[in-house]
Amino acid sequence: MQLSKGVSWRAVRQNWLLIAALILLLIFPFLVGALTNTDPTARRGLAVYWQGIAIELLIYGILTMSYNLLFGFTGVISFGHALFFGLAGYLMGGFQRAPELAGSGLAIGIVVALSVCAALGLLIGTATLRLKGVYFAIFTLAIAEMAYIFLSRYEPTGSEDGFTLGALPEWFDPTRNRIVFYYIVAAIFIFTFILIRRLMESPTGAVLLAIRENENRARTIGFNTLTYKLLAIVLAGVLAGMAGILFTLLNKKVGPEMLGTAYTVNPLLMTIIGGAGTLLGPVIGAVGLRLLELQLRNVQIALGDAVLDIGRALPIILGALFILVVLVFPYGIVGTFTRWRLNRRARSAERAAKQAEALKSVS
Amino acid sequence: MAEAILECRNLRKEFGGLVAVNDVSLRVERGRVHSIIGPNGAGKTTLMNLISGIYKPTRGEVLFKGQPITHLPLHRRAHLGIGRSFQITNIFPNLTVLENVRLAVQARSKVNFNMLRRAYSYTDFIAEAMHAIHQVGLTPVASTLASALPHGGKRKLELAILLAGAPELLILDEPTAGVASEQVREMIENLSHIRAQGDRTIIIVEHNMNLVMNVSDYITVMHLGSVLAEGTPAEIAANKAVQSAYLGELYSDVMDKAAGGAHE
Repeated sequence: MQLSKGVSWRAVRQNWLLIAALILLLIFPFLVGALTNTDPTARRGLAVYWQGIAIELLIYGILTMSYNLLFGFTGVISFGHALFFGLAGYLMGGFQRAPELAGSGLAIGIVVALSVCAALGLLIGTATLRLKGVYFAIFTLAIAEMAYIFLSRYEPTGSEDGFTLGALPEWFDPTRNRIVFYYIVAAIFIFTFILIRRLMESPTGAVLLAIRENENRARTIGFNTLTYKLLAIVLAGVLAGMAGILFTLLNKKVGPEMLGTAYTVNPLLMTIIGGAGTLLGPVIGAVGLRLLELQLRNVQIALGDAVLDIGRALPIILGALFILVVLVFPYGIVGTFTRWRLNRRARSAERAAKQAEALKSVS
Repeated sequence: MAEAILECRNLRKEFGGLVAVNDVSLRVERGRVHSIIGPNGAGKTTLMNLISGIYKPTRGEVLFKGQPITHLPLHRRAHLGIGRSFQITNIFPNLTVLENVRLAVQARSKVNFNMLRRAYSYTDFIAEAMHAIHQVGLTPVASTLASALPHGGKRKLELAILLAGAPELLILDEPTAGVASEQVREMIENLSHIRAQGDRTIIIVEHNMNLVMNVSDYITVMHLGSVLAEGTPAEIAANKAVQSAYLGELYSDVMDKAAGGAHE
């Protein structure tokens, strides 16, 4: 009904890329099923394997979007993002496998984990957001590393091995019923994207951008910037916690590595490569880098007698890629593209103005 | 005597052993343009930072409309009606000119925590922002990124952000710093226009004597953290102590002209 109005058609045309991505996301399990000629609702098979990859990419997407909310949109650099990701996994897992909670452990665990992430964001933010730039980053790194070291030595949670989850209900179990889990993760992914998009279009989002651009100026025109930064860190913490919960459910296991620097640095790199402060950049960065990593993991190139193990050299390759992006495309893939389009539009407007001027002087 | 919109009482600011502002008392009357002049290091910018809330004083009091604001944070003073521009260009570089100004309009509204509506659905904010942009003559570049403006344009944008906040008291810290001379003339016109409207009080810290002598109602001269002299432009121009301590020979002809004008 809405589509019959001209305005809505314009909305469709402006968002065609997002609509196409949404459709792809929704039909993906059946698409890979048809392409690989396997049953997407089965327990195993190629279609199910690819669903697993897609779930992981979507979880990385959620984590990176939450990082971008802080780093790209608010200009707050945190080195402790993995704390929310890992801690939520541990908390949810701890309640889920507790035998006394029987069937309700999972639900309680999710609620507790997300609440703790929000409270932790508030606490860390209140204590440290007055610190500027790198000092805040170092403080968050210290807290996350402390939690990492503590959990890797804490015996009740399995020290450095972590622990496996208890049995999950069949309809929800990613190994027995992966397609349902896929749609749950996809729904949370879409929700996160829309949430951040709406936030950034709202007056509150405008203030976050102002803080990123020039916090002192934002304070002088009358914004209590600390409150807005707290809001951003709490929201980002809860979303990172959500990603941690989904990641734990997917692997049915949690371990201290989830609090390690990798889960902070990867979203950081993915955000920068995709385009910090853009909506699609973190998603493209997360999906692109993770796919690249998965594809190159087992590649070996034989050069005569020598064998080049791409999989083992992967960190070096990704490091070089990162340096290249920072030097050549400092605004990331999406950021560079948007700037290029803006500049082109500005140039053509300038040309049109000059032509109009020339015509005026002729007549 | 007219009502004082701002009063500083024995304001003092020490940085370690350095006394940047030494027991300064200042009275700014409503509706006036009050200039603060003095050589580099006289403590002018520090005094502005104490008034706008960037620094807290070591001692002394700041009163705005009769109420003490000495311990209020920056954003609360902005809500009370104190707006401020900076010596070093201080804008939101990667946002458009319109968005820079629109933020200042939004800042004094009550919608900042509304996350359900789109910021651009508040068309009255945009209209107000465009009005301020028009006042400083930036309308043709409203949708360019602020970082792409030339220096003079950035100074004008700074003024537009300030006007959009609709403050009762404007603090301008060297509005012409680094600006070409023909644009100084534009700035004088802008300020004279704001002054003519009569509903704003302006404090200007400035080195450009041409501007100061043209737009000021009252001048305070600072030297080494203290007030050296106060008076109308003509009085200041005729003040021998000011001339020798601060102005030296450099501005003597401007001063003579201003003093001569006052005698006629």
